[in-house]
Amino acid sequence: MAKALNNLQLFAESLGSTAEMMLGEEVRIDKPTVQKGHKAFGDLSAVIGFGGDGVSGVLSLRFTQAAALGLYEAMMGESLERCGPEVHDCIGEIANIVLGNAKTLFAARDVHFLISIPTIIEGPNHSIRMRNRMAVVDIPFGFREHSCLMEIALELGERPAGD
Amino acid sequence: MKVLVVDDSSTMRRIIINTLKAAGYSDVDEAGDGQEALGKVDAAELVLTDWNMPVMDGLTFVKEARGKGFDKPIIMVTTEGAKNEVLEALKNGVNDYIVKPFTKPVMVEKINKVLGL
Repeated sequence: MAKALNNLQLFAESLGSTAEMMLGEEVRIDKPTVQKGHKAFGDLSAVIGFGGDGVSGVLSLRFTQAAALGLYEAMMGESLERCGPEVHDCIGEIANIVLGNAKTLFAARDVHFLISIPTIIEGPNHSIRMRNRMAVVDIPFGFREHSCLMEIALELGERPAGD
Repeated sequence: MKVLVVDDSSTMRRIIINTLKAAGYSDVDEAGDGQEALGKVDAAELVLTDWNMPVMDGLTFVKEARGKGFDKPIIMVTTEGAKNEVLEALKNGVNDYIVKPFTKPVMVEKINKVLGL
């Protein structure tokens, strides 16, 4: 947990470089804050788990429909009118690259973990409920006129039986 | 020249294929995992493959393709960018390595390099 908390900037750094290289977009990344309760935000989320070497958690990239469509347009060079499988795959791949790149940055600090395959959650203004013993850090970001959110949920350590 | 692009993400396959076509490589085939790629690899003169995929991952695909005598260049395009992972891929028959995220010029440069252009 401490290893990841002390290196939260690596997730933000990875997000910035991914957006710059894959989208050709400069992103605005705000200061991380610890989330209180379960934050409802956006219409689409790409969620990936990671774990190993004393660090485990979940990374979520959360978008409004307009932001997800804007991201797809920036990445693929074509615009769509509504979110469908292409947009789901696109935000999942971006989340995969952001976490994969963060994994490489952590590995350079001798912190190693594996990552899962992305899952997409869809629904207006949805919230994502992590397990009770997880701390959730919000890293708001934006591109063009869009506001988005990266959530990093981190395990807090040993879990009681049955939790 | 036929190029085979292997990635479970349709988004990434399209980005790579668009990059290849813009660079003049217009004869492109694609596969969504290593198993599907094994059925197409013999016709390819260059392969770009992801590492982490369902059904059959990219490293297993490379080992299987090399094991059956495929000797054309293979480039791994993946988020697995740690030094030990790069070394493992190179040891098992990958000719070069592109870490995601990447820029299109970097991809074209790597392709031209493995083809000796």
